[in-house]
Amino acid sequence: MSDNLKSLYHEVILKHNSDPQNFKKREDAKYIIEAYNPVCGDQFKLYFDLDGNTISNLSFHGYGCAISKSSASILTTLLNGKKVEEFININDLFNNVLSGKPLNDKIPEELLAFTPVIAHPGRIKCVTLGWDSLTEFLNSEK
Amino acid sequence: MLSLTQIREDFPILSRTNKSGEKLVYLDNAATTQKPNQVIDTISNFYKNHNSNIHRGIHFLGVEATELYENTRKKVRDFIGANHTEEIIFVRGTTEGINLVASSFGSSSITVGDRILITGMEHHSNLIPWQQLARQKKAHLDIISVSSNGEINIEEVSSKITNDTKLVAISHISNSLGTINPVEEVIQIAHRRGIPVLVDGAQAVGHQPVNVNSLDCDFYAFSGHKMFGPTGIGVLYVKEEYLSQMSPYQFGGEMIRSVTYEDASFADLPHRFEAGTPDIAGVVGLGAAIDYLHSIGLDKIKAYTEDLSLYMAKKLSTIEDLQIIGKPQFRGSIVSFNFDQIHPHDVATILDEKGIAIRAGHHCTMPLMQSMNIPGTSRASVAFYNDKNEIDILYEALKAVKNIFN
Repeated sequence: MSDNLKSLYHEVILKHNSDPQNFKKREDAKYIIEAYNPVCGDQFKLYFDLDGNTISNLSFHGYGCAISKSSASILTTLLNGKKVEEFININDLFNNVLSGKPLNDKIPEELLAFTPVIAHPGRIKCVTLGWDSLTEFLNSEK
Repeated sequence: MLSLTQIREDFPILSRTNKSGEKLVYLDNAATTQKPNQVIDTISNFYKNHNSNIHRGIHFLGVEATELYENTRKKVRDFIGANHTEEIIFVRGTTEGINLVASSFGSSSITVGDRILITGMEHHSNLIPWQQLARQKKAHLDIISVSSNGEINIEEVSSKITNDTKLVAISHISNSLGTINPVEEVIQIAHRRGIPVLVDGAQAVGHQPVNVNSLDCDFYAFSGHKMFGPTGIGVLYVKEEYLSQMSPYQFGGEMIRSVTYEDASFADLPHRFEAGTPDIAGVVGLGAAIDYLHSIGLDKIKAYTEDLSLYMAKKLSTIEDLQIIGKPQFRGSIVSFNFDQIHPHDVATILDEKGIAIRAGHHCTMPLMQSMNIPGTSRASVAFYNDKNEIDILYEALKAVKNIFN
């Protein structure tokens, strides 16, 4: 295997792909939003509640590639119980990293597993799929 | 046998490498084929030496460009065995060709309660124009089902044709599954009931001999870029008896006879269907692609690519946990496949790192994917410049994909 591939399909990604965290439907969630990429057909739902400004009981379910699935899985592990502002902050840091800006040491380490995807512009949307839909939802709620 | 070394030299892009220095293995021919020097040079030569608008030039360049353009129409006529030059309409591609028929023939011949029959494996470009036409006209769209092998049942075609059916539209070769459809039989059945048939030939032309006269189809659409010619140019064949019934599809320059503020009369066939300045260089390049295909021979191309495609299907099917999607009795140059637990886009990305270009996704056949209960497939498609060694490279790379995810 080439070094490139080893790093692209980092063990963090492969682990979350084969054993996604918080991977469950929850029909009684206060909010159920869709993360859909019509180009590849990847389709997840995010389930969560908002207690005031705090995201809680965050889970996801659906179908997607290893990149989109692992990224959504990490999203749920990082942001459950966090405030909306913290999500926005981490999301901004993550987007900076994905657009090739210098690393910021405040970014959660798991997210660095996705930096090799920068070399595959066609796959960036897979990384950000769940994140973008949550951002869009929060913007529309403002 | 083809002289592969010589053929590959005609396609400069085949010597490309990717960022890691891996040699290109181009297996995405169903999306678009590569272009030989003969096509590239012809287009370049047109712009360098003959460029002019057509059908209006008093000057010598206008005469030359018009001659090159209209001579290509004759070349296309002979290439697909049409009876008349007027039956050849230049369009942007298969999609525009089908839309032209849906818009023009559809608006005059489809009315409330009529039925249009298509198969369940059609590309969106041979589905949505009919779906939308049916909606506008309050007509019905009937779908011939696709078996798990990726084939249609000819008896179902007969049973789904009713007295209200006004058109049958079918792909010659499925772009998702590689199935060569029994279009001759479908046309015979439809014609016994007096119903015209449109064939989407995007995946057939350039890979096998196509003769619209012996097929006896009424409409046949195909794209230049899938037959080793340029992008942006395609052909719609319309049988003479339907041509005269069809009104123009777009209006403007090039398609008129005389115009007042109140009215217009239209140019002769087929020019009334070619509004605006066409892709003249594209047409000339398409002519070069036809010459190139003739120089190799379409019978040889068909035999070679089908053999290669069968080799690929057989070889890939030996990989554990890999399913071939669609196992038709007659296969064109396309093989779709899936791993149990690996997403097609992950497969395509890993192959891309190894220089292997394939397509992954729903291949513009979302309803077919839904009916097969899969989100998409990985699709490898060959052309006459590929060889078994490249299939072996694909095979090894797919085994490596499996290892990464195990």
